[in-house]
Amino acid sequence: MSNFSASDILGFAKSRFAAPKPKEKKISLLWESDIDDHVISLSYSPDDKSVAAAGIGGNLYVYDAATGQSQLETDAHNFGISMVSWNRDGRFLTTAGQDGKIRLFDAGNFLEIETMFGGSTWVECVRWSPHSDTFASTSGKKIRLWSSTGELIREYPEQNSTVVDLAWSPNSEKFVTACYGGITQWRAENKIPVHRYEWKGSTLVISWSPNGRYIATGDQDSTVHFWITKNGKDLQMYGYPTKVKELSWDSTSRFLATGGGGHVTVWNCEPSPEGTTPMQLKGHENFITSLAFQPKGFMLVSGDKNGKVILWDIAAEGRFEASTEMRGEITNISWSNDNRRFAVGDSTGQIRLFSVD
Amino acid sequence: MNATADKLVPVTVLTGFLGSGKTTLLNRILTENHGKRIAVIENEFGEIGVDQELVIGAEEEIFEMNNGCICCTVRGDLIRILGNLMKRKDKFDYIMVETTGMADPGPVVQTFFVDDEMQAKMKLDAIVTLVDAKHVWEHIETSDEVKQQIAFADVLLLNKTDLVSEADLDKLEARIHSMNANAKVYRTKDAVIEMDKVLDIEGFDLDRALEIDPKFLEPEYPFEWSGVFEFAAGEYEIVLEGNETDDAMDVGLIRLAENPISENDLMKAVLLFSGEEHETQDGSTIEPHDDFLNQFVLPLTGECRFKINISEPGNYALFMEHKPEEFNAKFFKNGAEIVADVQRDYKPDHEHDDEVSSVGIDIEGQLDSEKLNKWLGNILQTKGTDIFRMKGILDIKGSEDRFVFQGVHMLFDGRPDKPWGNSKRKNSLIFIGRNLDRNELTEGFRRCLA
Repeated sequence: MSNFSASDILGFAKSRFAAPKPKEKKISLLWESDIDDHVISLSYSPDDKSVAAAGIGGNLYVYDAATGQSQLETDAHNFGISMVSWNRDGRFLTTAGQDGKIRLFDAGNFLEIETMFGGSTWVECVRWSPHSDTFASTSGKKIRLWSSTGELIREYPEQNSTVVDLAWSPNSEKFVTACYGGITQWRAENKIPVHRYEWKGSTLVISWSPNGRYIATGDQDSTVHFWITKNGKDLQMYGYPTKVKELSWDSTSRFLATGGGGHVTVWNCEPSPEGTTPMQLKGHENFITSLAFQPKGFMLVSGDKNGKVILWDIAAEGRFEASTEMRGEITNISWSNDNRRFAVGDSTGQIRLFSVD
Repeated sequence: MNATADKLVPVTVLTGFLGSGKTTLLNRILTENHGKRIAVIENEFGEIGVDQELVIGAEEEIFEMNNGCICCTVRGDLIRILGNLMKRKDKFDYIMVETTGMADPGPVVQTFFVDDEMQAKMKLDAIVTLVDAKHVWEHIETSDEVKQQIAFADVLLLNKTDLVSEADLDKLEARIHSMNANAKVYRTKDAVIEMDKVLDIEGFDLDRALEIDPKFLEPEYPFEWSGVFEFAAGEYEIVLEGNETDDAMDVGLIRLAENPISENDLMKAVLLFSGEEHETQDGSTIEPHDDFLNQFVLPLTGECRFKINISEPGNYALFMEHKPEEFNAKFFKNGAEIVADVQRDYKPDHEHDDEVSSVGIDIEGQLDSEKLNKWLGNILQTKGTDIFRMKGILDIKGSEDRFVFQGVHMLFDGRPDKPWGNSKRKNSLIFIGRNLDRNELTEGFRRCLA
């Protein structure tokens, strides 16, 4: 294991990238909504037609992405929602509830297809496969795989502690799960894990690089971990001021943007983050709470505890492009697939949709 | 800072062995009309369900961090559940966390100190431990968890008092005090207790760090009695009677620098008693000595005599491991009985070799902040695992303000507090933990004096 410190070196970025001709970017508000509840999950549909949002109290909202018109408002889980997830083409929408339930909706008419049980009192995540019409759920120590009709396809062996996050492989029907003591790689079709990466620590979020080379985790002990998928080797990045709950890869897998403090820390993974000093983007005045790269391209949006939202161009040395303010702590940022819009949710229930021009 | 602190939601941690009455107390707290909106995190294997809407079942998940530091051991489930709870609009005024019977309170306590999110929204109020007054004896000597639960507590409820005699309760309370001299102890039946005794205690509030009952700060000594005599040069005699139980007793005789016994002379005696003891047979003669501890060999019945040889007149103190009454001890000069000018009884060391105990230090004198830092740092590093709780108020040289601190294992929180003003400047601190060496701590602290 190697350790690197995320120290401040904007100079590094300058030497590495030839500055492109500056082109002013601006962000404009297209519409907004107020759900008067902490936005716990927010997701642009893959077909860019809708935006789904969940209030922590249990209400699910779906908006027409173009106009902000409400398409659905329903009390989906009476004890609270943890997550919403669209399938790969936007035909299905699922919610994970703190009532132990998973609800599956047909996104064509927003009628419910099925209600399922995650297996424990609290369903932490539901995530659709990027390649098929199946999705995985985690609830307590249980991991389950479901079909788009709501049938249980498979239940994986119970983990030894609560599964906190699950990420699908971008290229194959594999996923990784994180729980205390390490992360586990699974082939969706097999109950026997492909690989287990042991680590005595608590992972909070997990994200597979789009090229499949790295599995990155953000951790409770204020570190970021890179696991090299192929050989299971790991790199641990120290120096974060607080626990790291924010991770976002750019589509080329070159950059991993991380939170865990007041600056956005961006690791360059080409060829490897090992031994490098990350880029640090300064502009926030409080801890980063959400991060999202464009689906294609190097624009990054970050949000903080004070409600500030900043647009950065990572290809241009992490240049500050534009910023805006929301009412409360930024909880979620989700880009449209066409790279031109993003939705932001905050802790007071404000939801705003911006365009980038 | 206080403005934000006021908004923090207080958390009470409820510990106690299975059957000690945690659920009964929880039910009481939930049904009592206190105007609070309480959320309860109940361990998944609770004895009986608490019939309330805001009860969340949790399975205790202890996370140890990669660096292996004990203070980074936290309850992951609490971070997830409480983190989520605090985002809700329907905010709670109070949070109760019930642990399983076998839980070490350390990780749950530390969760509220090491996680930024927890710290920003909640404050640990107190640890309340229920003790089954009848059955605790089955575990108190053998179970680490029972010891930890008692040692960590701010409030201890000796519950089920109806099942035991008053005398047994006194014995239990004494035993518990020997482990945790800081906690408030209440005797309860069916966990009946006023709410203000268990809620909003502010046991972790630095401002209250110093509400240590002074009687528990009184140090313990390796002897139970001292008598000061003004001896002339010559021979004196001690006559003792066997008491049918003790076959030996340590006795030290030192010459005093001043009368009455000063702190320094007392410390000399403590050091003397911590040294090697020398067997002293019936009829032997002893002499005053700072580093020669006599061990009188006693008959089980009948009399024995020891002579004291004094070569220089002056004030002398005789320290005895047990009280003179136990052996009907008498002192003679030329066949005439004499009595000590000043006699003093001391709070004895616990007879059982307590694994978990409290060490109180209460001395005057200004501290050298550099020395203190070094000493405390070293203690946290080397003894942090064994120290469950500590708190105190310190008199730092060069500062007009009291310095207050508290800690849990290796986590330490301290700051200058209000000015001393007219109050008496002194240092009072208490350590509660495992394998604490009273003399080492006291001496170490004394060396920090400027």
